Amino acid sequence: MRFNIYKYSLRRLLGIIPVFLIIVTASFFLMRLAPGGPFDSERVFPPEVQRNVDEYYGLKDPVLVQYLSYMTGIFKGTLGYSFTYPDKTVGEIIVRSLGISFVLGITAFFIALLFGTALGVASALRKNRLAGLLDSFFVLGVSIPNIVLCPVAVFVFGIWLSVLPVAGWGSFSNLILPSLTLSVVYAAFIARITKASLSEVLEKDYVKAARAMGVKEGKVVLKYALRGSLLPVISYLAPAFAGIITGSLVIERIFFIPGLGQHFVQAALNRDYPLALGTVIFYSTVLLLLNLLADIIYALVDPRISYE
Amino acid sequence: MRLARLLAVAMVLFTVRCEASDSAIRISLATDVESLDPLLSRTTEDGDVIEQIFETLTIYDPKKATPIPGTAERWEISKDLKTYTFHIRQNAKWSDGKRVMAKDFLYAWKRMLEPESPSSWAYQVFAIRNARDYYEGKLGDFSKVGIQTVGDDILRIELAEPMPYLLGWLSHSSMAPVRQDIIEKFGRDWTRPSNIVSNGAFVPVFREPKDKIILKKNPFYWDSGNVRLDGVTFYPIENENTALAMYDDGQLDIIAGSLPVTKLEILKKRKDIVIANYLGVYFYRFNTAKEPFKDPLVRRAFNLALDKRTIVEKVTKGGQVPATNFVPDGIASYRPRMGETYDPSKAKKLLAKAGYCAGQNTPGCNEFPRVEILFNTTANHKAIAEAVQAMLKASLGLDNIEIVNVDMKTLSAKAKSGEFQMARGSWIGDYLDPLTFLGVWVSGSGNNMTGWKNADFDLLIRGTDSTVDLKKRAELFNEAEEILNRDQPFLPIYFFTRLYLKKDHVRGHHPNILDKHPLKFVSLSK
Repeated sequence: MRFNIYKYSLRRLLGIIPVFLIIVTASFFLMRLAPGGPFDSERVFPPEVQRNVDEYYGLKDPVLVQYLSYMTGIFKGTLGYSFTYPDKTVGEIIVRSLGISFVLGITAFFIALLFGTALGVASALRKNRLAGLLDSFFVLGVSIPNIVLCPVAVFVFGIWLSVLPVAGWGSFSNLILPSLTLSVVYAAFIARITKASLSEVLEKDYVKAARAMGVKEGKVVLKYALRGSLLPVISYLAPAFAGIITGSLVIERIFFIPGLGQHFVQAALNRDYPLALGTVIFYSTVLLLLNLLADIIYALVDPRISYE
Repeated sequence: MRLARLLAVAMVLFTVRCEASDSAIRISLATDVESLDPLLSRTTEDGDVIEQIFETLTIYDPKKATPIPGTAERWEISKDLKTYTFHIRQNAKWSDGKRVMAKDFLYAWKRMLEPESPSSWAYQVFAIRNARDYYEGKLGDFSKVGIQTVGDDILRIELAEPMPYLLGWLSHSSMAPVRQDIIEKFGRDWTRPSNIVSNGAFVPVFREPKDKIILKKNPFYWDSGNVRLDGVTFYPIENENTALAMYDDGQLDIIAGSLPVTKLEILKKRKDIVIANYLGVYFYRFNTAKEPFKDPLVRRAFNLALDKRTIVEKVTKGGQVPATNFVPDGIASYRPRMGETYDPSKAKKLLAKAGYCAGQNTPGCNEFPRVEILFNTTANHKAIAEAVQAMLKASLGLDNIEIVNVDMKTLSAKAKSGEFQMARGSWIGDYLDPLTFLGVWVSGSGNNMTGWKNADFDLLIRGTDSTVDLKKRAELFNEAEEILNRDQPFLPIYFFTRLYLKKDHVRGHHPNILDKHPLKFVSLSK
C-alpha cells in the first residue's frame, strides 16, 4: 500500500480551513443567543448610558455587520479588544495567559506521559494482584475530580505538612502541586489505554513470531509490541494535549494561577464576545492542528503501513 | 536538573518577580478589576483600586467615610448652596512631576459627560447646570455647563439645584482627574502601567487580567511624606477558600473579598475578624404588572410571612440586619422608616382578603398560582431562596413556589424585560444620602424594574431635590418610605454587612458603612 505522507498532510491541512470557519461563525452567532449582554449587571444604567456603551464597543450595528467586521479583523490578524479589559487586546490576553498555562500544562503532560505509560506497561505485563491494584488506581485517578483532589492536596502539602505554597504563581515550588494534580486524570487515562492496547498487541501474531524467533522478551515488548500499541494512546494524546495546555478552570481558580482556562469560562459568563470568541478560535485551532499531527504520527508509526 | 531550570526560566519570563518590600500591603479582592480608567469604572473593585491611584477633590474619611479634603485643600459654598468653589493644592502633582490643575478635572468630567461617553455614572451629576442637556446632545457648547476653571487652581461647580451629597459624591472614582495629553497620546492604551500618569498616593506598576495588581508609592504625591506604605498588591482571588488559605499561610494581610459561607460560624469567632454594617440591601423584586403580585395585599402578605431574623441567623450567618424597609440605617442625617415585621397570622389574613385560599378553605377562594423566584447562581443566593420558599409554605400554606437559578446576565436581562414574577436583587448605596436608595423607585428609573409607580412618591422625591434643610429633607424621605413600605413593590430580606479578615499588624484600616479604605492612611507595624 503506497501512501504519500505529504499529500495526505496537505489535503488534511486544507480541510481544516472550512471546519475552522464553521466553528467561528457558529460560535459568533450562538454567543449572541444567550440572554443578556456584556453590560447587563445588577445595576441598570439609564438607557442613554446603555446606548453609549453599546456604541463604544461596536454593539449597535446590525449583527451581520458586526460579523463581517469581526471576520475581516481575523484576516487582518486582529481579534479585537476585550470588553472586560478595555485596554487589552484579546491577542495579548491569550498570549500571556497561554504562556502560563503552557508551562503548567507541559509539565503535567510529561508527568502524565511518564507515569501513565510506565504504569500501563507494568500493569499489562503482570497478571497478579499488583495488576488489580493498579487497575483500581486508574479508576480512582479518572473519577476523582480536580475540585476534590486539589483542596485535599493543598491541605496535605500546603497546610498540614507546610512544604509547598498553598497558591500563587511565580516560583518553581508553585509549579509542583498544580502540575501533579493536573496530571492525575491524564496519567490514569494514558495508563488504561496503554494497558489495554499493549495487552492486546502482546497476543498478536507478529509478536508471537518475534518471540518464536528467539528475540529477548524485553526487546519484544519495547521494539515490537509497544510501537503497535501506541496508536490508541496517540489518538488520545492529541485532544489531551490541547486540553492540558489551554488550562483548567478549576486548577487555576484553586491555585490562583492566571492561566487561559479561566478566560474560557469567564469570558462567556461576562458575555465578553471578543475574548470568548478568541478563546474558541484558539482552542479549536490547537485541537484541529493537533488532531492532524496525531493522524500523521499515526500513519508514520503504524508498522503495517509502508510509505513513500 | 536542566529541565527544572528551563521551566523556572520559562516561568520567570511569564511572570513578574516583585521585590516584596517589607511595607507593602497585600489585599485580596472578590473579583478582577476591569479597568483603571476612571471613565470606565463600574464595579466596587474598580473603584477600590482606582481610588488608590487617582485622588479626587474630596476623599473618604478613613473612619466615617465622610468627605474630607483630597486634592482640593479647601472650598467655599455659596449661600444658596448652588455654587461650590474648590481650591486645588499648589503642591498637588502628577506622577510625572507636573502640577495637578483645575483643567484636569474639567477635562475628566467633560469626557464623562460627552454624549457618546461609556461612563456608567454620568447621570449622578445631572444636578450640575446644563450637564444633562450636554450629555443628551442638546447643547453643543461645553463651556455653558456649570463646571468652570478660574486660573490654574480654582474649579467652580454651578448647580441647577442644591445637591447636599455633592461633596460625598466627589470622592467617587468616576470623578477623578485625568491628563488630557496622556490620553491623546496613547488612546485606549493610556492605562497600561508603562503609560499611565496618576495623581494618587500610588501608581500601578503591574497589571494583567486575572493576575495581581501591583502598586508602588507615588513619590510625587503631595502628601507622600505621610504615606507609610511602600506599595500595595491586590490579589483578585475568586475562590474564597483559596483566599483564606493564602491569608492563613501569611501571603495576604487583608481578605477584602468574600469569606467562605460554610466556614463563617468558625471565622466569626476569630480575633482577626471584622464585621461592619454596609450600606446595602438584599431584596426580591415583585413584578407588579402581572398576577399575582399586582395586588399589594399579596406583596405585603409575602413580606409578613418571612422570618428574616432566622434567615440572617441560620442561613447567611454574617451578622446581617433583618430588613423591613429599603434604606439601611447608617446615614448620619437620616432615621429610616421601618416597615412591617414578621407576622404569619396577619400574612394569612391579607392573603385571604386578596381572595386566595392559602391553605384554608374559605368558600369562593382562588388557588394561589405557581410562582417562580429567580436568583443568580451562588450557594448563598440559593440557600436564601430555599429558606424563603420554606417559610412561604409554613406561613401561608403555599406549596407551588419554585426557585429557579440562572446566571447573572440572564437574571439582569429578565429583570429588565419584565420576564419574572419575583427576582433577587441587591442595591448598594453610592453616597451617604437616602436619595441613592429611594431614587431607585421613582417611576421611569431604570433600576425600578417592578412596574410600580406612585405619583405622590415621585413628588416627594422631586421635592427633596430643591429642599435645602436637612431636617425637611429627612421628613420628605420618611413620607416617601411610608408610601413605599405600604405598597411593598419589593421584598426586603436584610441589610448587608461586610466581613473581612485583617491581620493584627495592619493599622489605619477602619470599618465604615461605605467600606472605603484610602490606603494612604494605612501602615503595617511589624
